[in-house]
Amino acid sequence: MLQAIRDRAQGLIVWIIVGLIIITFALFGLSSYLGGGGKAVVATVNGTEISQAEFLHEYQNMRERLQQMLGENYRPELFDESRMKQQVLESLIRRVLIDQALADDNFHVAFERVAKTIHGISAFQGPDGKFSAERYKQVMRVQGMDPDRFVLQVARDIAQQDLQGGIQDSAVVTDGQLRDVLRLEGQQREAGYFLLPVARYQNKVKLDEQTVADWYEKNKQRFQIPEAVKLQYIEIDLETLAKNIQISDEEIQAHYKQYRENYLLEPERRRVRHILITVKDPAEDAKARKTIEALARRIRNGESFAEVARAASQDPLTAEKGGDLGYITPGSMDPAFDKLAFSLKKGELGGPVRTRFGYHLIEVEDIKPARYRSLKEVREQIRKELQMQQAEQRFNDLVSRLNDLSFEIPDTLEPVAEELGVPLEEGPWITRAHAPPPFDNPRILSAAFSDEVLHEGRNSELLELSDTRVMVLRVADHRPASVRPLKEVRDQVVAVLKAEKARELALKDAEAAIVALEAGTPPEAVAKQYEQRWVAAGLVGRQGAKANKDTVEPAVRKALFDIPRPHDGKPVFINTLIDSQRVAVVGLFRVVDGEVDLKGAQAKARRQALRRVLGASEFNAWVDRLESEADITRHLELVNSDAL
Amino acid sequence: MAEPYQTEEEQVQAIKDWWKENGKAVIAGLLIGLGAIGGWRWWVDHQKTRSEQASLIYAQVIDAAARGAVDEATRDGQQILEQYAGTPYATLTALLLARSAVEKGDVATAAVRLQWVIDNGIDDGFRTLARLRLARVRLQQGQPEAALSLLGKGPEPGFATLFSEVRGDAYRAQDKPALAAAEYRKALLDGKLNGELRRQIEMKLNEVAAAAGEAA
Repeated sequence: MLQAIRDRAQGLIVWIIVGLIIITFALFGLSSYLGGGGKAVVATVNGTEISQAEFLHEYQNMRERLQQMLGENYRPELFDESRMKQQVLESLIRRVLIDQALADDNFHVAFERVAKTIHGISAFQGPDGKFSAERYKQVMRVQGMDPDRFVLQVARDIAQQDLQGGIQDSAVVTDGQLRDVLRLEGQQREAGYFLLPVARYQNKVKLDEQTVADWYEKNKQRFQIPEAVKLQYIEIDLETLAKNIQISDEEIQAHYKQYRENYLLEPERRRVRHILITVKDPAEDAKARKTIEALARRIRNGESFAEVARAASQDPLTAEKGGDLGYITPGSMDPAFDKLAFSLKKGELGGPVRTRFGYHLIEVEDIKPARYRSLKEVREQIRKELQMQQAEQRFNDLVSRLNDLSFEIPDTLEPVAEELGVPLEEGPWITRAHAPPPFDNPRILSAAFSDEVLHEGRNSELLELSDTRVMVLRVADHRPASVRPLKEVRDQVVAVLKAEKARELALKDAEAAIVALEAGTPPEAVAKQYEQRWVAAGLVGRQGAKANKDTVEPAVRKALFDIPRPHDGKPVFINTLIDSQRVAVVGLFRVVDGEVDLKGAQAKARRQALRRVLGASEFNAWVDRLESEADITRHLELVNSDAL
Repeated sequence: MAEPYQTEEEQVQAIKDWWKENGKAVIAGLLIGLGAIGGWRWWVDHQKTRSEQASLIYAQVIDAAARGAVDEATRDGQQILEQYAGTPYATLTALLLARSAVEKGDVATAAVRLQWVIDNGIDDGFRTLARLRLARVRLQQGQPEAALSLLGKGPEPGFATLFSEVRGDAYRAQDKPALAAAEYRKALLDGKLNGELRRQIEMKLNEVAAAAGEAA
C-alpha cells in the first residue's frame, strides 16, 4: 500500500494536493490543527471556551481580594460560595463578550498609546520618575510575565476602556431630565398626621378558644421541634497530643546544634577582590591560563593583589578599584567562583578558577561571619517542632487503631476508648440546623443523622475533620421531630392573634378618622377623639430630616410621598401601617415643587452625577444586549465541583 | 474517476488529457482564489491600520473633552468623522460630540450626531444606544411623537428597562399619565436596575400615578 502511494507520488495531482496543503498551512498556520483536546470547559460563549483552570484562577483571585479587603474580619463561611462562583463565571462570560465585540467592531489601539500607558506605570519607572527599560525587563522577569503578552494585554485594556468609557462618558442628560430630577428631588409637601398605637386595641380584642385552636392547627409548622441527637465520640487531635509530650532541654540543644542552618539570621559575608582574564573564544583558553598564572606568580613574588588587578584585570567594572567586588554572600556569584571565595582564608591568594567569563584570581580582604538566632530565642519554637514530630507518630498510630477498632466493635465506643487510652466524650443536644462547635461541621452532622448511625446504632466511620483532627461518633440519645402541643404554646398563639386583631381594629378606626377628616372636621379634633395628638408637620422634604429640619420619621415620610398629588385644592388623607406597632393617618395639603436652576455649579455637579449613573446603566444594557444575542452554554456542575 | 482503467499508462494518459482540457481553468481558479485570500488579508490589515490611526486622534479628543476644550475636541472629532468613518472610533466620537452639544444647549447638533450613529454606527448595540439617546433629545426638543417612534414598540434585548423609562417620559410629555405609569412600572420590575435610577423612576411614577388619579 505505502509502496503504491510512493510510486504514484510522482504524479502531477499528488503535487497539486501537496501544494494545496502547504498553502493552507502558510495561510492559516498550524495552530488551528493543534488546539483543543480534552480540557474541562465551564462555559462556551459563541464558540469561545472558558476553561475550568481559568475560572478557578479568577475565583481564587476574587477570594484573595476579599480577604485583603476584609483583613481579620474575613471568614470564608460568611460568603455563599456557590453564588460567588456564579458571579465569577458571569463576569468571565461578560469579559469574553466584550472581547468578541472589540474584535468584531475592529477596535485597534495605536502602539503609541500602548507605549504611553506602559511608560506611565510607576512600577516600571526609575528613581527619576521616568520609564526605565531595564526596570521594565526586570519586573517582567520577576513576575514571570511575557513582555509580548503584556503589551497585548495593555492594548486590550485600552480598547476596552475606549469602548466602556466611550459609552459611559457620552451619556446624554438633557435640560429637561435635569429639571425633572431637581424639581422632584426638591419637592416639599405640606403634611399633618397622627399615629394610632396598635397596643391601644390589645385589650379590646376578644378571642374564643375555637379561634385559637383553629389558628394553631393552621400554623402548626411554626411550632415544630426538629429532630435532635446527643453524641458520644472519640476525638483525636494532633495539637492536643503535641501539647502533652515532654521534650527535655538536652533534646532541644542537640536539635539546635544539628540544624543550626535553619536559624540563620544573616549569612557569612566576604569582601573579595578578583582579577579576571576573559576567555571569549575556547581557542584562547590556554593563552589566558598562561597569562593568569603569570599574574599569580607576580603576586606570590610580593606585588600587591590590588595593583596587579588595576594593571591587568580585564573586568572593566572592578579593575580600577583594585579588583574590589565589595561584600558578597554565598550563592551570589558563579558556583566555581563562589566555592573558592568561601573556602579561602583571609589574605590568602586563590585560583586560578575558571568560570564562564574566563579565569579569575581571588583574594579575601575581610570576613564577616554568619549570625544565628540564639538558642534562647528559638527554644520554644524547637520545642513545638519536636513535640509535633513525636505527636505525629502517635497520631498516625492512634488514628489507624481507632479506625480498626471502631469498625470491629461496631455498636459501642467504650471499649475502644479504653483500649486506646483516650477519653470518651459526650456532647450536648444538637439538631441539623443548630449545633455548637465543633459539631457544626457538615461531616459530623451528616454522619450523626445518617441512617446507619441514627437508626441502626452503629459507630460512624472515621471522620477526617481536618488534616490534624479525626473523630468517630455514635448516637447516645435521640429525640425525634415533634410539634409542641397547644397548651405549651397557647400564650404565643394568643399574643400573635391579639396583635393581628388589634391591628385590624386600629386600621378600622383610622378609616373612620379619614371619613371625618374628609368631611371637614378639624384634624386636631379627630386625633383627640382617639386620644392622640395631631402633628402639623409643615413642609416636609423628600430627603430626610437633616436636609429639611423636620422631625418626621422615615416611614411616615415615605407614606407621605406616596400620596397622589391633590387636585382641586382639597387635601388628601390616607392611612397606612407604618410598622407592626403603629397605624398612621397622614394628610397631604399642598405640594411645592423643588427650585430649578440649570445654570449654577450645583446643577453642573448634579448633571455630571446623573450622567455617570445613566452611563453605567447604558453600558450594562449594551453588554446585556450582547449576552442576550449570544450563544452561551454554562456547565454549572463544573463550576460548583469542589476542585478547590 | 468512475470508469475502471486497464493499466497505469492508461491512467496517466487520462490524467494528462484531463489536464490538457482543464489545466488552464484550474490554474486560473487557484490564482483567483489566492488573490481573493490575499486581497482579504490586505483589507483586514488596512482596516486595522485605519482603526489604529483613528484611535490616536480619539485619544486627543477625549483628552480635550476632559479638559473642557470643546472646540478642540470638536475639530479633532470632525477629522475622525470625515476620514475614519468606518472605524469604531467614529461612532464613539459622534456620541461624545452629541453629549457636548446637549450640554451646550445645542440640541439640534446633538440630534444630527446621534442620527449619524443610527445610520452609520459600528454595530447594532451602538445604533440602539443612539436611538435611546436621540429619543431623549427629541423630548427636549418638544417632540414626544418623534421620540416614541424612535423607541418603537418591539422588544429591545438588554435595553428594555431604559427604553421603558424614556417611553414613560414621552407619554408624560403627551399628558398620558396612565400609559406613562405603565412604562415606569415595567422599568421598576427590573431587578438589576441601578438604585439611583430606581429612585428617580419611582419619583416620576408617583407624579403620573397621582395625575392618573390612582395611588402609586
